[in-house]
Amino acid sequence: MNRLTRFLAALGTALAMTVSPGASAAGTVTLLDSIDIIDWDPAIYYSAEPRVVLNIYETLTHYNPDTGVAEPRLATSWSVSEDGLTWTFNLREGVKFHDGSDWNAGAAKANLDRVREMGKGAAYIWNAVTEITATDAHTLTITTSYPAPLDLVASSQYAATMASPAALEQGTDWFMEGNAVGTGPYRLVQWEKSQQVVLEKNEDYWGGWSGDEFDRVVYRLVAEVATQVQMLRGGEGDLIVSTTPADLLHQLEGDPDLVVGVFNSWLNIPLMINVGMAPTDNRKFRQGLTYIMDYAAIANDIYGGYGSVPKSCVPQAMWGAGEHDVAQFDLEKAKMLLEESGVPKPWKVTYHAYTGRQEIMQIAELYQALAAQVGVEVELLTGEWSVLWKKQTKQESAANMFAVLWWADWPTPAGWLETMFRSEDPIVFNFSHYNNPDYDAVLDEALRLQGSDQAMAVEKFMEAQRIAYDDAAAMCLVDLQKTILHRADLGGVDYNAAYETVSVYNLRRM
Amino acid sequence: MYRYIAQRLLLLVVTLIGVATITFFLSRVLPGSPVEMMIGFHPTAEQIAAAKKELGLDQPLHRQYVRFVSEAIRGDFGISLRTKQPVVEEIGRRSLATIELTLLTTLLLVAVGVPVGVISAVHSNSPIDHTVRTLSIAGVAFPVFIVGMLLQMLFYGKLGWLPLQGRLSSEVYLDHQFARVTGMFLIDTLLARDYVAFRDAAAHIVLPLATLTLVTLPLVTRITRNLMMEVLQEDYVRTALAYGMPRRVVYYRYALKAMLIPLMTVVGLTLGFLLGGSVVVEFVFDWPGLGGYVARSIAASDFPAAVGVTLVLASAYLSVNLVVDLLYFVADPRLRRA
Repeated sequence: MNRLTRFLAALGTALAMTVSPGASAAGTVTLLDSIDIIDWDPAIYYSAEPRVVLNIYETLTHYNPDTGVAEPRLATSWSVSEDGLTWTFNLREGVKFHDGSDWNAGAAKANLDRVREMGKGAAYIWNAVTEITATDAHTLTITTSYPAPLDLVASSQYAATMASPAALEQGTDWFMEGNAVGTGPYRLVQWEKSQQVVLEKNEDYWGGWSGDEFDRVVYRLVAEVATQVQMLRGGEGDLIVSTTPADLLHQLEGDPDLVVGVFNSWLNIPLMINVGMAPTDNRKFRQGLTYIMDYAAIANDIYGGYGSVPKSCVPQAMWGAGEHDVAQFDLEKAKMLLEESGVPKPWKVTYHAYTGRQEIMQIAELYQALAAQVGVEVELLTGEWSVLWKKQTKQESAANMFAVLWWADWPTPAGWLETMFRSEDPIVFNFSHYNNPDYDAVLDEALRLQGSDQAMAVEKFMEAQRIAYDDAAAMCLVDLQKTILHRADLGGVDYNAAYETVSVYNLRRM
Repeated sequence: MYRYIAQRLLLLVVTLIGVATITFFLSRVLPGSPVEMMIGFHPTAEQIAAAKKELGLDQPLHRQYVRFVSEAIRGDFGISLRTKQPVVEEIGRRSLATIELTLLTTLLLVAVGVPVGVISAVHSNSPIDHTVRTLSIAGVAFPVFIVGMLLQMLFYGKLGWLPLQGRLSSEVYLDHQFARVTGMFLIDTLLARDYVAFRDAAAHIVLPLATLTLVTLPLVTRITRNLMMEVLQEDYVRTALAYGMPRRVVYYRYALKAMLIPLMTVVGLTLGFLLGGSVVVEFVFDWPGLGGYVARSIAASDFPAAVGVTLVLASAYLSVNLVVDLLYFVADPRLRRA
């Protein structure tokens, strides 16, 4: 049905739609989203909520993907002790929450303590922290048990946003009724379940207003991509914050009213190869498998050019990724390595491909077809993501190969290198069942260093990647770009790989 | 008759218990745990274990069932794993949106489908009849979402007469807040005497209503036509006509009455089907009803929601059937005497 709806959308676009029935009112910007808010509690939300709530809430620091460092936001400056275990954040003065209360160290402590106590959502990002102290009204001291890059952790879009202490006291149930009290440029005025979320300008925003920003923001929930596009063309919507499929974007290229913004992202697809299961327990055999994939076809055809051939399983847009000598498409070399591996024929591997994302399925089918050319039979096992995830974590139900769409919660290559490759028991995301003490040792060193000496940490992260690629624990399929479809008269559309949102504060009607 | 009603009600309760039990065990036995999905992108192993404990999934199955039954009796179906909203509350809100749409559809079906069927039968094999039959086949053949999207393209895209999706415009949601007394916006806006909001709600319901009606109308029309054709062959119809009774009276008073029972069954079944079966229309028009809820819940293995909504749909379906059966007594005096 998906393909057909898109065909219909194309048909719809063909039916020259010149009328604009419900064009947005002046001063209002309408963003179209495909899923409703699940969690309103800032300590819990861990899904697509940042699209909306990052316009309401702010963090201590803000990550700059161009420089790879954190910049001031609710904290104006910070420093770390010699041993890397004590962080001091100086907080911005004169900032008020939407409820009129003051932003200060007590509020910051209340938020972070609550996150750590509740242990929900992305609370793990604060695992290093042992104590948080409000030294004075605008100084926050955080001590850690091992050196951790708290300035980067504090910039996270999850589990690091600051809500008013009065709101925190009301508790999760109150948040879940559709409440949010932050310091950001917009405040929440309405949540109409499964229909829309409305924000309005926070007149007292500390960042100030230049006057041509939007007064009101409507997030309208529209499930079907085809409908979203119609609303954009009709002028009823200004921007689509959820994902628009690449083939549909190409169909819309000639439309003068619409623009596709293309940005770097931290989304990529590692294809994990199970090292604990025959025949992929053979390193040479695994290496052979990695040369079978047509990487360029994934970036250019399956993702329609909105992706690039990766040089690492950590996306190039993330610091510490590095450029590695990862496998290229070379069937001859694949065949040679497979032969050398000594794995008896017939060669057969199983491959978990989850439903719900057509690209994941297309990649699997591409691999299956290419592998057949070198005599490897790939048995595709399909199912829901949650089903295959569970199966892959247990060796008795795992497959040899499993491609997953991946990203990081906060700005660190550990989002891939620790979460997916470090040995673990029980297995959560180490779908390769990769267990190499050498790798773990180098990685742990990198993790320790990333708080105090980023340059050294990068070196160690690169070394760890080299070990994992030599072991062929994964294939790095594609680095994805974020595409944002919006009306041409909307200016200031920008996307930061660290934040799954479009900052409405920067948007202007042109 | 009261005895009959009591029997039926008892049967309804037994059926519901069966449905609840089957859906409960099915949802637990099928592969795929929603827990991992529910707690976000990259949960830790401890978080997964904690969430399972919180949901009672670490308990043996029979204990989970006992807990489920005791909570269900108190009307508590838990919290949806997907939306994190109480299942009962969400079903309540959504079923009213569905009822608003399906009741109006059913009314239109009866008001339009039945007369068209009668006309088609009376003028059988005439150009009118052929037109009706052709359109019926086309209506059955067209998939729902194509009809819906074509209507959207025409009335929103091309003509700009009607809104595309949702129950109300953004501005109306925001600036015309009316009391949600019944949950059916057409009624609530009238009760609040908010005519701007009423017009908006009415404009928003037109396209989903038209789509649902267009795709279910052929069934009612064709069945009415076939039933009518049969009745028209009856001797008493010919006699009445021979006596020179007005045709309108013969067709609509005598003939239609004779086919009321099968017709009621069809309309009842259609209504029951529409309650949960308007999934596609709800997706296309972002109508926040039950169909979309059940489809998404099942896809996400959101079992509290899936079990809750299955029960509600089952009881709605059974109740509609019960009402239809009781209407037989109203329609047919012979049954009353028996």
